[in-house]
Amino acid sequence: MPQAWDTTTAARLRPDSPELEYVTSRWQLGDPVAITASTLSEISFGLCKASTTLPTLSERPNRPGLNPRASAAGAQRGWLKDQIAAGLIDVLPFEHRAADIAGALRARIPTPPPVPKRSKGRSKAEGRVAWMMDLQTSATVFVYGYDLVSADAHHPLIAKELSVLAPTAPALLIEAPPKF
Amino acid sequence: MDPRELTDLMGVGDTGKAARKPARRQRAPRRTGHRVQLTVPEDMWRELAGIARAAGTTPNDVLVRLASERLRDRQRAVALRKLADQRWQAFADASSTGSSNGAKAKPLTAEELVKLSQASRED
Repeated sequence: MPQAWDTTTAARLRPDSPELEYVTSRWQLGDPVAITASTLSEISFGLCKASTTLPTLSERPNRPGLNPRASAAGAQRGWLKDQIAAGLIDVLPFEHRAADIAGALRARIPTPPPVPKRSKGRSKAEGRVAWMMDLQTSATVFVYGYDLVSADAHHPLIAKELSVLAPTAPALLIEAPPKF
Repeated sequence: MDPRELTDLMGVGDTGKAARKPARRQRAPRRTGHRVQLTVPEDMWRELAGIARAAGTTPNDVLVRLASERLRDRQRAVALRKLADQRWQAFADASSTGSSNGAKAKPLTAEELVKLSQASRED
């Protein structure tokens, strides 16, 4: 079954990584891995934020030279965009059907339910934004006919809710990320 | 198709012998199946021949492999579309109950609609 990766898995993609090797092998077999537009937005946000909020050269006068973490974040974003442009990874758009389903999901569960493993250092507001993105991702993957690969504890709960909203539909399967 | 994908189809011949003897005709791997005679547009054939030369195989073989890849992609796309449509239809069917009852109800005012739509920002 075609796989879509959520942020917990797709964010690990980088040059010379086992994740890249896996994605490449699936592409060669004609079954490329996908991410959703919402997942791409989350990844881009993190990388852009890192490249703009890390201290700049002028803010670190005693430590001249490029800020290595900021430029690495920028380089990673450029690399990921190149892989997408080359067709190695498909990006599933958040379109009208996914938007309708995400709205219905949010009406049923407006705020993120508590899960055993919560992201450390995330504020309540950030958690709610992440929740919106999770809903969008699940709805997109569902309506494009993919399975979702995720380590996020929220997605099985969303999948359960989807089976209530669309009881006769083939269920959204949540797979654990591949072990490398 | 990347010509490199085809390079494992044919072994590289002994170039020394090849220089003394007339070049042997390239042969594609033997396949079983339906034999057909078909007309291939000239420009397509030139492209197939170019890929075949780079990969050390025949244009016929390249043609079959390209068709095979395209069929595989198509099968995947058809299966995905089928599942996607089933899921969407199931959601649409389950959520259409409200709209049939709603036909008899008094329509919402513009103000009510705006307020409902903006509830998304308030929760």
